Amino acid sequence: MGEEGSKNKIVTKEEGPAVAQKKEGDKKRRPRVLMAPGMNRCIACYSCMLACARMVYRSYSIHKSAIKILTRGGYTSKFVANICRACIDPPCARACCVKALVPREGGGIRYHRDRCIGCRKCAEACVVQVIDFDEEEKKAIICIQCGNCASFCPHECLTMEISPHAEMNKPGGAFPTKELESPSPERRNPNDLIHDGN
Amino acid sequence: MLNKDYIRVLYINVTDQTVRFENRKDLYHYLGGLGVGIKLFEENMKADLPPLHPEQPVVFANGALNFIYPVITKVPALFVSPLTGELGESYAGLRFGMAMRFSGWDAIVITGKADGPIYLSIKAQGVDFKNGIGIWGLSSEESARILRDLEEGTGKRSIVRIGTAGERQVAFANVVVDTFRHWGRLGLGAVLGSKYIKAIVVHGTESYPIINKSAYAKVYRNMYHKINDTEVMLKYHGLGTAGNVIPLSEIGGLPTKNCQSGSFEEAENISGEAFAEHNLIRKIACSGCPIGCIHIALHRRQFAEPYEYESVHISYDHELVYAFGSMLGLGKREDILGLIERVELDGLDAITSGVVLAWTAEAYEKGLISEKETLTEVRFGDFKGFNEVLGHLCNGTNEFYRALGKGLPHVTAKYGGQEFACAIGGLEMAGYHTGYGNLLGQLVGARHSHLDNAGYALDQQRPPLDDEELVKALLAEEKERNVLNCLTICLFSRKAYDRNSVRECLAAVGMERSDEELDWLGEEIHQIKWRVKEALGYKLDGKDVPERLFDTPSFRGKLDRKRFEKILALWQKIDRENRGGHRPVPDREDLPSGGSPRIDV
Repeated sequence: MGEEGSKNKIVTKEEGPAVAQKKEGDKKRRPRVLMAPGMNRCIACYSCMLACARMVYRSYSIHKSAIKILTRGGYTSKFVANICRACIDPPCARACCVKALVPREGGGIRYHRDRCIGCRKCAEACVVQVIDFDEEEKKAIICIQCGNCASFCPHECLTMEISPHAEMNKPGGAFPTKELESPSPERRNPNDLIHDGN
Repeated sequence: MLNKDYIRVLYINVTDQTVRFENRKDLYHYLGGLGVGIKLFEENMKADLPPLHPEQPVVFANGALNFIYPVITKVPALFVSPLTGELGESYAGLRFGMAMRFSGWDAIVITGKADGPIYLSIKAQGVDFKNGIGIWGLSSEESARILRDLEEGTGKRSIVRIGTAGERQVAFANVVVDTFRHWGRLGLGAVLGSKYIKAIVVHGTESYPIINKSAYAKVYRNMYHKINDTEVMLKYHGLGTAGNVIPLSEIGGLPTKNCQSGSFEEAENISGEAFAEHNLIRKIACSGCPIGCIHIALHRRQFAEPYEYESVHISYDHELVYAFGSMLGLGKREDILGLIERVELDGLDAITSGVVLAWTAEAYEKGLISEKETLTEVRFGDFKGFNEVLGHLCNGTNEFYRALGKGLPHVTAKYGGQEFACAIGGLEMAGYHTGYGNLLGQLVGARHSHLDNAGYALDQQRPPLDDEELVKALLAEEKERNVLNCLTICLFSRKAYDRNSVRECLAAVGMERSDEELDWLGEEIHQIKWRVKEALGYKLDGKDVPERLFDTPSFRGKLDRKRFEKILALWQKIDRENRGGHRPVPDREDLPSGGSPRIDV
């Protein structure tokens, strides 16, 4: 097997897990959510955590990343990704009493960071316990479904997909979105609302 | 270092279990990594005392850009090598660099000797000296498993530890970093063992804000794409360094059976291709590196009938396949993996172990030693004998094995066989026999490593270099690598981090450096290293290359000792001339060049 061949093997999806692909007919602007279907391919390079910390939370440190790559008992074990599961009708948003977190079309939340008062109720409410807390700034560290992590994943372990539950999110669905907001007018302030990826 | 204009140094004394710190502005010009490390080492080493004396320091110095850009993952360790008695310098990756970056300590200096086994838990707030009696005597794997449970902070900490070889102070014992990576060469494991330090856990809990996000994100993205999507690092994406086995064997540059030959008839069985097709199960990466060059093989073996199997994960690369494969005449991948597993658990440097085993097999074959010394048959191609020898070596079973555990120069002084002891400058050679560049490179390299100056690659240049070009290229490469080792890039990404990229990367995080300043740094480190080496008693001597490497033809044909000594003299001459002409850095009068440091506490 030539070296070129092995490089190609990484980027093709012929073998290994079924990495969900953008399908023909998908509308470009349909909101997508982060998924981690290819974690068996993960090499623990932490590029995703670095991207989240760098692009969203302006930090060099992976503590300020909303995605967490962990081992299940050292490097001989499997790597796992603790990610926001982009709930429809997210409990974190329900728990947020200052509307810093509001449900996002397609799953997950939009995060108005300027409104966050650091009460940690979102973290307590999160069913899969993936909301972290920035002890320095006293604000939540939470996934905004921007897809930066996925774009820096060298093995496509992470992808941005249309949530299988998105249908339920539509008006008339099981969990119609209660509030959808247009982007904050103060969005240009770097400490303010962080853009929502798509 | 990052977002600061000083280097934060943590001093740990394990004798009286005290710590102190200094914020060293004077070290800021040395960037980090090797530059800061060698300065601290020079300040703290005791030239008159033996390598394993409690007062000898161990210095870890984090790179200026470690974890900030892709593939910048290494941390140098500096110590007095118990194997060579002079400068000990070794690099390791995996998660240590990341953990150290966010521990808040740019450099750590450890001195002293504890009363009994301890392990250190290093945090931003200080150091806990913890009782290590329960993990002393355990393998590198088992001790780490226990520490993973004892210490908090999964995913953000690094656990480094020694095996039983380090505890018993075998001169080429290594330190295992997290899993699969090591400070392998020159015996750091023995130094930690002599201080009764079984393990060090570093907790990376701090964080640093990005000052200029747009500049940094742009440079990061460029480097990420250069590394991931272009040809510069293709080799490491695919087969890894084990891809060298077949090409080297074909050109006659793969040391085989104690370097009696330059090509191995069974090279195909143990090639990177064969490992990839039959044994490779996954690759993993050092934290912050998107390449994932750590190739993991599944080593499956039957331990009983009927169909009872056990399996372990073993990391392999070219140097290990050379040391335990071609060098020992072992043509079965399972045998190589078996020996790698053994040194991984015991904590021995694989390259030195392989070369030492190869010498033992030849000395046994030639009758210099017998079963009286070795306690078992040792023959090229026989896994069982080699495996037993490794066990005795680690245990120090008898006088012969205790001598063997001090390295080839020591054991040959007693039992003979210097002419086929494949050590260069006192350190067992790496897996290349390419020509004068390789021999000279390893001899004059500050740590006698093929990675000091890549002499093996210069031998393969076309058209071939003449003697003066070779010498100048070796010197220039070593000095440039000194600079790269201050940033602590993985040298596999050497081509991606050219000078322009280095300057851009530094500037985007507020550490602007001019070309002149970087030149100065490379030169300055070179001079400090040689000052240190000479203070520790090292003398460059062409006789520190064994006859075997001249008898066995290399890739560049049969080498001639007289010509080699001529090139060596030329190297000394050119180096001496350059050392006199130390280039000052314009507009920066505050650069220290020796003397007592200014300390701001």
